[in-house]
Amino acid sequence: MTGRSEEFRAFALDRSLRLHQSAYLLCGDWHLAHDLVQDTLVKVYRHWSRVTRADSPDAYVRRILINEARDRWRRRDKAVPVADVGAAPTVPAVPDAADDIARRDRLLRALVELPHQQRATVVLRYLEGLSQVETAQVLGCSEGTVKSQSSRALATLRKYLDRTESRS
Amino acid sequence: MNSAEETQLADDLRHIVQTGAPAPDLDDVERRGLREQRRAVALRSLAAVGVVGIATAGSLIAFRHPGAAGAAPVAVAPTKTASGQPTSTTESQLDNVAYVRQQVGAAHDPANSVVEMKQSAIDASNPAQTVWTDPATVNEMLSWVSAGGKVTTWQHQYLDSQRVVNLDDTEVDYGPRTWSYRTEKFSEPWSGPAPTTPVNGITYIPATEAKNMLAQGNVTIVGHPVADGHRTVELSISLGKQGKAETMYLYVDSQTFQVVRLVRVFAPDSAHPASATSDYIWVRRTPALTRLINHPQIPAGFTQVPAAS
Repeated sequence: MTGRSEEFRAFALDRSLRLHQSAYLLCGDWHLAHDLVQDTLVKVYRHWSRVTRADSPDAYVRRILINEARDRWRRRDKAVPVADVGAAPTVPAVPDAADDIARRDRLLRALVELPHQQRATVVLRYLEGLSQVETAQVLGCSEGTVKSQSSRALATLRKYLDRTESRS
Repeated sequence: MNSAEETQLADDLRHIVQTGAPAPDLDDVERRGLREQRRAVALRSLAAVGVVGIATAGSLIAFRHPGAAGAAPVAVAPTKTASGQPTSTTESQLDNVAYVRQQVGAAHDPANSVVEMKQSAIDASNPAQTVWTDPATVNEMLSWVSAGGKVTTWQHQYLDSQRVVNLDDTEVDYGPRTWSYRTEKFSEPWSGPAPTTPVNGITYIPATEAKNMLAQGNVTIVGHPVADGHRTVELSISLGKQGKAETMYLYVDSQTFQVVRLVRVFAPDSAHPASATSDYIWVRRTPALTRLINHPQIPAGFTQVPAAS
């Protein structure tokens, strides 16, 4: 195994879980998410020297993932399942979980309906925990755009959030 | 992040992605990465000498089909069949319908596993759903999202002492927090060996069924795309005008020859989408998974209601 290969593999394995999680929220389907991550890693491998020279390799890889998700979304003409209900094996059917499961199903459905950039903003800000500045760097836009995209996304998701609050 | 709704959102997103993710197939990543690099280099070279055009198309075809004239077959990593015997499949063999058909016929279902199928919506009465099947019992657990929330159904199938097929159906509806149960019997005893697939329709494709599918219709090899993280052979099966589907695309893993994906393309019909996709994943059996599929789990506090007719 070459030095590049070893370095790349260590990097890919270390980021794999996080990439899968972000990919899932971007496309709403675990299997598509896995394909997305594979395609992203192929690009990372091809441009490995560029990735390692980047100020933030993670930001670079996130950008590839988000662009891949956007391209796939366009190609599939939104024929993506709007909800992944395959969580049954890891979510025991206990009474306390029912409301949460239903609410999160609604959230996921609402999330994949958002325009791509709003969805990406939500994933970067609220799953990845990036700041507005970092999110803007990944998306290649201004902080103001991140703010407005976040605000619009939250407004759209508020129906779901309102339901949450009214139940608690 | 500071507002309560943002905190709630972040918390929910973390819960949604809690399911463990599969490890990336880095061998495949490196293989594809190197292939794409070579392709890019070749295209740049061709452009430099000004012969872009027909030559580029020829080059692309040669890269896509290494078995084509002028390109030597490339051996992929030695693999093992389901029987455990190592084989060495070449790229050109993966372009050969007879070879692929033979390998699919020789494949076996993974031992001691259950299968998860994720299917996109087919029509109003068949929404997008996930179906878990235990091949040992042919019992199924189906999950989908209706307008009212998540619904889970356990469909259990068995032969009684008169060899009549019994179908038990337990449905839990998380929206109104209700559950229902119904059972039905076939009118005639089942003849022959006990059914090895759910009698209500194909919800998973055991190896034997894949072999049967390739025996019908006109089969051609479309390509070798990556589907669901697997390098596959994509086969097109033309069925004429039988049933709802006119053409099926079967994706089999290029190493194990197990079915990874089935895409059914429907005849133009306003009642159906253009196509429906089913992805199959074999998961190693665990006691918890076996229990989940084979034993309906009715949450405490849910109310029993009459089953819908």
